Amino acid sequence: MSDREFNSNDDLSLPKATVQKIITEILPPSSGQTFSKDARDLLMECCVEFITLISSEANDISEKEAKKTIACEHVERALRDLGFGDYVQDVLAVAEEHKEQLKSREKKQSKMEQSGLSEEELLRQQQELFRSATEKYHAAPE
Amino acid sequence: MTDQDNYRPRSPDLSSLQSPVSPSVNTPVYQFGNPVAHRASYDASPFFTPQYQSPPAPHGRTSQQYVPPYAEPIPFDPDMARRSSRLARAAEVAPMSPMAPMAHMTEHKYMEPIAQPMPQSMPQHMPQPMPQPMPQTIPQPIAQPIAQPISPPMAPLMSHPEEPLPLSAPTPVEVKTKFPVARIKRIMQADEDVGKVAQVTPIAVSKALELFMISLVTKAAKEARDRNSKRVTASHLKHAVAKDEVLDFLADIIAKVPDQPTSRKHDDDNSDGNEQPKRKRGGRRPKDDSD
Repeated sequence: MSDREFNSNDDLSLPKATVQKIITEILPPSSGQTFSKDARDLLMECCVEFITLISSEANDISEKEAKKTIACEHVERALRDLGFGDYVQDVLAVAEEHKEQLKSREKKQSKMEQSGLSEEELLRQQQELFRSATEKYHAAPE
Repeated sequence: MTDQDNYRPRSPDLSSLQSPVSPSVNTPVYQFGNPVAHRASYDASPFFTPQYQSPPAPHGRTSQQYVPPYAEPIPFDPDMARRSSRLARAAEVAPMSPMAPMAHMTEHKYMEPIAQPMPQSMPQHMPQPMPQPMPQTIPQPIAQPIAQPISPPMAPLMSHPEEPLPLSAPTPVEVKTKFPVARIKRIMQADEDVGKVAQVTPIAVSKALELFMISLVTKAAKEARDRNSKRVTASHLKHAVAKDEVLDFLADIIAKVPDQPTSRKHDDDNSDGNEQPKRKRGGRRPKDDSD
């Protein structure tokens, strides 16, 4: 509750700059068309409404399945049910991409851990480095 | 931004004119194809790399200095776009959604390098068939600003690759800019019924939103085009939304927008009022259409 009050409705819309940027990507100057400010503001409202719609539909679906968390499948189904089936493929691709990213991140982490040395060994090496650094420091001519 | 507004390189005619016309320009033209003939001796010398060809030509010099400002305004080389979008499609299996995106651009980074040849080649063929009046005669996308970029009309080096520009092919609009996922999540959870949300969910929603936005903008732009307006206004968007059953959920929102397009200031400051469209300001200014 406190959270929600703290982040006033200002935060509940999309960042204008981002929206504007995307609009320009869709309608590049070469298209000869410009998007007026009132249209952009309206578009932003529509977008927020869209998010609300999708998430509340996805929420209903997840509740029906007795799930507490809204997962990607629920969004997918919500999109289909609401007539945005066209988006599903792209959305799933992006979600998949994200999962892949997570995986590779984990792999990287475990790679560090699996450097083949035990923690003691790593610590010992570190101490070794410290010592040699200190020696170098003292040996250095003033 | 204003720079970009000024430059609209899209015109099917230009592309077809390009190759036949270029040789006959009356200024000393260096066709990219034949400088070798002139500079054979230089080329033969090991000390001259091909890149050094252009600086000796005085015109080439100026044109190069002029290039950077234009490099950006022309983010769209259809040919390259075609190629790179093919790449993109192959890469991420993201087929276009059927809502017929119009002019699009793939990746800025891809464009910039090739954007350069464009401004140089444009002047080359432009002045020939219809020098400056052209912008007036052709009402639609080419528009006034082309006249300015022409200013270095001698920039003859580097004739543009002779491929025709296939502007017709609707390729998927690709949007590089992403929505902030945290914000999306917050908007989702603003609804009190919505509880926990998986980590991927806002990402998925954000992609859906992107597609949704592309569809809305494209439809609104089409609406505007059908009404011969270069400025897409709230009322165009309204009409676009009203036409689509799927978008019924936006009915309440668009109901606020008046039917008649009202004239609006171009200032940047009045951007946050929902009331804005309701304010009437004594009819449309003729200027609205031209910029």
